[in-house]
Amino acid sequence: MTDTTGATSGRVGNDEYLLEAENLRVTFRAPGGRKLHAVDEISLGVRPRETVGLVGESGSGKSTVALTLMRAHEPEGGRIIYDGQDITHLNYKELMPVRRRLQMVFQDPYSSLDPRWSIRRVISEPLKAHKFGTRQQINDRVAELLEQVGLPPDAANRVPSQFSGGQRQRIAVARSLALQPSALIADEPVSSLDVSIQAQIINLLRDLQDRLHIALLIIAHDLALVHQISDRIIVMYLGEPVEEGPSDEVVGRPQHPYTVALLSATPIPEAGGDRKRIVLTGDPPSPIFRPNGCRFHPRCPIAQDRCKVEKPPLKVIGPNRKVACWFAGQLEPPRDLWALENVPLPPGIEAAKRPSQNT
Amino acid sequence: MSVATESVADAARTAASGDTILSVNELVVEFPRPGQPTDFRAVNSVSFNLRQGETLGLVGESGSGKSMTALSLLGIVPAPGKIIEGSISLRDRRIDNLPVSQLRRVRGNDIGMVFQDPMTGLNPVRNVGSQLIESVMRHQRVSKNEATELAFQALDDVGIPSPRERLEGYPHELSGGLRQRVMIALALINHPEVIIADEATTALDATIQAQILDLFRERLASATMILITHDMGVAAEICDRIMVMYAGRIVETGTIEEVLSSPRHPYTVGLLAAVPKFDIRRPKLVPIPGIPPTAEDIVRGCPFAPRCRFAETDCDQRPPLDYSEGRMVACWHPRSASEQSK
Repeated sequence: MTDTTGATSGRVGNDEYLLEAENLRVTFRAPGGRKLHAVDEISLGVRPRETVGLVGESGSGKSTVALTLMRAHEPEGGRIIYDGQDITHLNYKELMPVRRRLQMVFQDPYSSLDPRWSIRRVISEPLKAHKFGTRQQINDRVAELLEQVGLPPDAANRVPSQFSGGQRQRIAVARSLALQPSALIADEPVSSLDVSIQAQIINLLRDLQDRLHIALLIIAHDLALVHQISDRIIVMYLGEPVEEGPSDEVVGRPQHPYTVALLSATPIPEAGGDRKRIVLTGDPPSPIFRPNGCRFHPRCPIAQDRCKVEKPPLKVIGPNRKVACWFAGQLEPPRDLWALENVPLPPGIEAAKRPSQNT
Repeated sequence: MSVATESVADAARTAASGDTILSVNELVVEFPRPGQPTDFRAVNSVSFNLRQGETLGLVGESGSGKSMTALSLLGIVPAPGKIIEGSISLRDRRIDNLPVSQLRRVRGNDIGMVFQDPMTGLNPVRNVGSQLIESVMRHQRVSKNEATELAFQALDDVGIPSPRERLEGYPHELSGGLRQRVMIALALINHPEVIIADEATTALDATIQAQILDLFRERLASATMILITHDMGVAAEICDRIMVMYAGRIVETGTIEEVLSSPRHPYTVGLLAAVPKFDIRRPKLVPIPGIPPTAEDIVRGCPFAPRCRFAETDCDQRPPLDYSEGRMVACWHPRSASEQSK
């Protein structure tokens, strides 16, 4: 019973992945006995040492995915697999060894830290819960963690209100790392922080990952930020994945019109920003009354009749590359990242495929 | 008829280059600090001119004083904060010392404001129409029917679908984007000379933010506007000119092109380097070390010096906002264009 997660026999899921969701479906009860489809048939996998970014707007279901992977929501369908073990229906006790290796960082460091607790108590709580060791060992570990996240040792004796937002998020990261997890889920880890502080936390996560080789699932609404930090990106719309692939390809060669629109909508502080803009009309539809056919068709600039009735499947279009659109690649992206001078094309992308080179 | 006062060099220079509508001169807003000898200066000697038809971006992080500057313009600095120095003039008329009855006319009539959170800016228990109509009837001499018609027109102008029905609707029935459109309609309905938008798109999703920025670009192209934002990218989308604020002070001003392509103040340089941009080279982000001064800190000299890579001993003196290579920068060691590539 000590370590079933590492057992070689009876492994399920894809061997490559450390954390995996298979056809995950999460619904909530809405008023009037209706169903709110928060997450519908999403599959994802995070390899050891890899960073996967889950992007979407509010209501896209990205945070529900995170919480469901942490087993905070019960999925209606699908499986959650951690290190070859199906953890979808494990009970509290069975889940303990998994929890220790799968940790989470939340969005708001003001509400995720108990204001009355000392930082030592905040960071050592998971250590105590998992019977890490003696008091001295715990204190040593707290000191080590504070150093890892760039805080002074005397921070342990203070309370959260004595720290700024960025420092609090460092404390939250230290707590999540306390048990040496092999996977970390970060839900909007920087969106409540000021711009000049965001980069500190992003770089901290990148450095920690390089050093500790954790698998990282980043959930964020900011495509530029997710591109910056992730190896692969999954774009969600109304509870469903619409596009996924290596970061540079999703951002550089977006295939789904929603990804194209999201790219176009992200304000970038650069001079001469006379790029083409695709502004979507309307709001995202309700996850209770979802449109038929393609969920995106009411807002899609290139929707055809087929999109109103037939739901496009998430189709494999290349290595690690998937898109759910009948007319994938037909909406021209607002910017051509590969057109940047002196940038070698990544393997698999041919120069001939570059659109709008002569404009 | 011309303004005789020439208190700041900037005022004299800009007077020639356009029709100044709003002029802020050496504005200081302070909040008492219990138990400390000095008060907290939320806004510290801020001066600027807003010209006819210009969109001016006020960019800064939380605590930079950008919102407090905007609130000062409307005379709504929250107590116990107070304007203790400086002047605000709207077309040669001082508006910082007006009695409340006259300030009410300024708000809405002369200056319209769009707040960040439309849910708190709108009354949740009254329908959209009645809020628009009330505003019209308070500021314009019109009948109820005419006011209703103007309200309908206002909603139509900001791109709200089926505006007639929406007049009867309540704020909670609207999506975030539509609510913000109602807020904009409310700010515009009395045709104010100046519009202030305080983080008007911050609470919105990216695709909805793009819609609102589009609305600003199309419908408010010739409006005189102050856009307050923490997001340099948003400012880049619609502003003509930018003022960067840090710790209650303006640290740099310039046209949007100037500030983005050759920032002079190390803080602006740092801010731009800290933001992820779509670039397949994915250069590592360069964070600004440390944190901005808080309301408890006593700031001496340059407020950015403790976080600045280029700080030297003379930075313990406060640098004035002054011209350097044709731009206004408050720094003893501004970066020049040739140093940008490093």
